[in-house]
Amino acid sequence: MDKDLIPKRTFVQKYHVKGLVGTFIFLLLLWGSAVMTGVNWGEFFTNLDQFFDLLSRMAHPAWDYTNIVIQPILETIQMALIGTTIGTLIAIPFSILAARNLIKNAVVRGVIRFILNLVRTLPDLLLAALFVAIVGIGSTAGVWTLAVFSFGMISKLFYETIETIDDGPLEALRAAGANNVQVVVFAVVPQVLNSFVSYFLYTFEINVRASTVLGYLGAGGIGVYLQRSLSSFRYDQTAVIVIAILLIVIVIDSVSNSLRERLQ
Amino acid sequence: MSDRPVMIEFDDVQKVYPNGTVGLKDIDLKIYDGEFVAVVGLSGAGKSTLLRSINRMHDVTSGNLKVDGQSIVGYKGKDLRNLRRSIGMIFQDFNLVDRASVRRNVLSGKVGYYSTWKSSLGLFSAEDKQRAINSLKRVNMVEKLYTRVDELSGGQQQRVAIARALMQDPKIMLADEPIASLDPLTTNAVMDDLLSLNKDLGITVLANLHSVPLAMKYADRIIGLRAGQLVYDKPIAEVSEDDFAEIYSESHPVTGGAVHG
Repeated sequence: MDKDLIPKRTFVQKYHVKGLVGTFIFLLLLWGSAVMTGVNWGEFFTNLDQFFDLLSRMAHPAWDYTNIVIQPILETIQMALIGTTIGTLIAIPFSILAARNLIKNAVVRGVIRFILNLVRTLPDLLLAALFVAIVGIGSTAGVWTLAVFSFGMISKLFYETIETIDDGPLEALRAAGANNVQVVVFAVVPQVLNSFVSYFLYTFEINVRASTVLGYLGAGGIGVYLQRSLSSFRYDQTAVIVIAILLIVIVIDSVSNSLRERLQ
Repeated sequence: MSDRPVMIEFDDVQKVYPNGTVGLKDIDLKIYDGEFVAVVGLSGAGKSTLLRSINRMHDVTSGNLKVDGQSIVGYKGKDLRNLRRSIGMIFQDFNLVDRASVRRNVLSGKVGYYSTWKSSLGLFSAEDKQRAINSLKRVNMVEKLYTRVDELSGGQQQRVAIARALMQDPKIMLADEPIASLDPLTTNAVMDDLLSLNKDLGITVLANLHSVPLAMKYADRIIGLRAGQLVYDKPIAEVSEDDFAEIYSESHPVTGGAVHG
């Protein structure tokens, strides 16, 4: 037979050394972090009865609370929509300046990407606390929080999309004497538009979910009511809010998912 | 041909890529107005570099290059864009925007003549919209005006690309392996289109071709490149098929190919 034609595997390849070592290191880290943080599995299970107590109290939702909840839920969605839109509009020029295939100058790209990385490291809750301190309690703080948060996320998704496009049409437009803006408008935009809309919807989804919590810090929306009901131990009201959030998130997710599938 | 004015003139042009690869070496070449020139040679011989140096998609390292009497090697900004809009170019992979309509792709050939904001808003003049239709008629593609490009075959896409280049009202048409991605039947349609631009509209055509029989069928003149050097240059009447063994041989060194003035 042609057995000698088959190339020999090295020791590392033959016994999957890399995979085994990786798995071992992962398990070691898992065990190590459990020990260091002092996770007590016993305590975790002995407190389960409190959990069931809460659940039983939430099992009888105060349905008459629903009317009060509708308005802040709508406010939450509006916050998410406005915040995502503002963030996206600011993200577009930044994503163009950060794309390797459009900006050949490594310094410009580096500075822009550094700014984007900085923005992305800020957690949304920290941003919310910051904007509540700046513009005061209310949905304006929520809108700004979501705008900055979406800006960080969308600009990264956008510039990575721009970097995957076919460079051919760009070359053709340059060869026809187009300037840089015209190259972007005629060769880049048509190639990325669908992905951009898809990422916009995806970020909107995430923002609706995120904005339900932002109210906790005074940034408007349904979160304010969530915090109020929890701190006054009205778990029957909490149940209504949780169910309402769940419904809204499911509806928005499915609508945006079906839209995004159609964009493919 | 020398009774016609010179359209493109290479004067001792050298091109070395940053990684040290020689793109062009000691190129002296005159292309006359209205010529159909086929450029032949192996992959990597410098055919693409030669074409792209004419519209400055590649910069040359040294030497002078004139288009229509003007030295173009120092062009920047507006001058460079004006040079490029007077030279049409078509590519092996067509380089159309797949997701846009044929109409939008063809109109995009004209953007070099529009201000940034006017073109960005799609405010093309009625005259240019008509010109787009006429360009498509010339390549028999007008019935696909509103079709998306990704629904077209390769040959149809290349003809749309020719229509796009025609929008520029070019003096010169550069064709970089225009038929390398096409089947034999569509190859003839595309080459016939190029020939009609040359004969009917008087556009100077420079086409990189892999196929010697095609070069002999369509061109007025054939030039050959090897390792970045001009090793062959003859009007079509003097070309014989045996000449090409040398250009296409991998092993033999260049043995003084017939360089014709």
